[in-house]
Amino acid sequence: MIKNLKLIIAGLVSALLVFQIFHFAEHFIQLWMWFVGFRNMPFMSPWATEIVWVLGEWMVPGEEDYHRIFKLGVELLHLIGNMLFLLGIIGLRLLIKSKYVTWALWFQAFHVFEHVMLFFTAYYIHQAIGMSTLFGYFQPYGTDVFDEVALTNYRVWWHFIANLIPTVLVCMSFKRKKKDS
Amino acid sequence: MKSLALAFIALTLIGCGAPKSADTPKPSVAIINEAHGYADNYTPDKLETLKSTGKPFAVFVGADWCPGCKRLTKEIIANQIVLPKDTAILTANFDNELALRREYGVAVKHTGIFFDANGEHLYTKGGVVFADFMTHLAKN
Repeated sequence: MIKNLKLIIAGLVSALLVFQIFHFAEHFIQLWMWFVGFRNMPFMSPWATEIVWVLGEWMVPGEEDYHRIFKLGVELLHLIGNMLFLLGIIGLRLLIKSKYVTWALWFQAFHVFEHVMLFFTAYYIHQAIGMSTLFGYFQPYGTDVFDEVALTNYRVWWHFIANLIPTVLVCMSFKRKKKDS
Repeated sequence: MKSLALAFIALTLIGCGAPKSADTPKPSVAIINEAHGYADNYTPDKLETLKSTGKPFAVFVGADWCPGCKRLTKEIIANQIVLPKDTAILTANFDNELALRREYGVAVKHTGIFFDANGEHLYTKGGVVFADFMTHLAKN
């Protein structure tokens, strides 16, 4: 029974970590495009863009402001993506007792908290406020300070690093596990 | 037969001498539709021409890297038939039209610049939706 449960958890964790590979690849491509010169807004792949529109329209049906629809879609997609990775790490923690997984878990929980902040502030006060937007300082609308390029620079790097750290920690836990066994 | 051929050649030569359509000056703005409004790409000339038409109009400033702007531009073009008669919306590129942005205070993409029937600039609004254009064009 316990063996079966472990197998189920291992299967779920594997699926969630495979998802994280794609999620991280999206952030990697975003950073790559940033280096190439796409800095007016964070680059998104066409398939991610399509998911964003679907999620945004689902969040605020009948909304006419495309900017709001897209923004909410972006924040919801990030929130879902990072919650899935967090669930993957929680599952991994059940299977591997490693300090690397524990650190990854704490870090990803912190990252998810940031996305909870961004999503709910974008939804309720129409402005994404969190550490990765310098608490709303870099916003296109609603403040006197406008710098979309600065927002993109800051946000692209912030989220790339925030994804990189737990991803590397998870990889290190696998390496340690392999070495131990 | 010879006379027919000569007549044909004569007509052809006369035709060659006639003014070509390319010689006639083209209107710098698409002809304002009498049944409904229209949408067109922004140029400074078109803006100046619209100022003298005696009808309200607007300019939408969007960027091709902005997904929301692309959607709104599509919506404007697709729905120009529902715009009030004789009115117009020009669509301008945020990255290229720096002079327009400076003149009308456009700080962000996805912005509308609204003009009244006298060609006077009324206001500039960020985060516009299609309904903003419809309301402005119908009201003024």
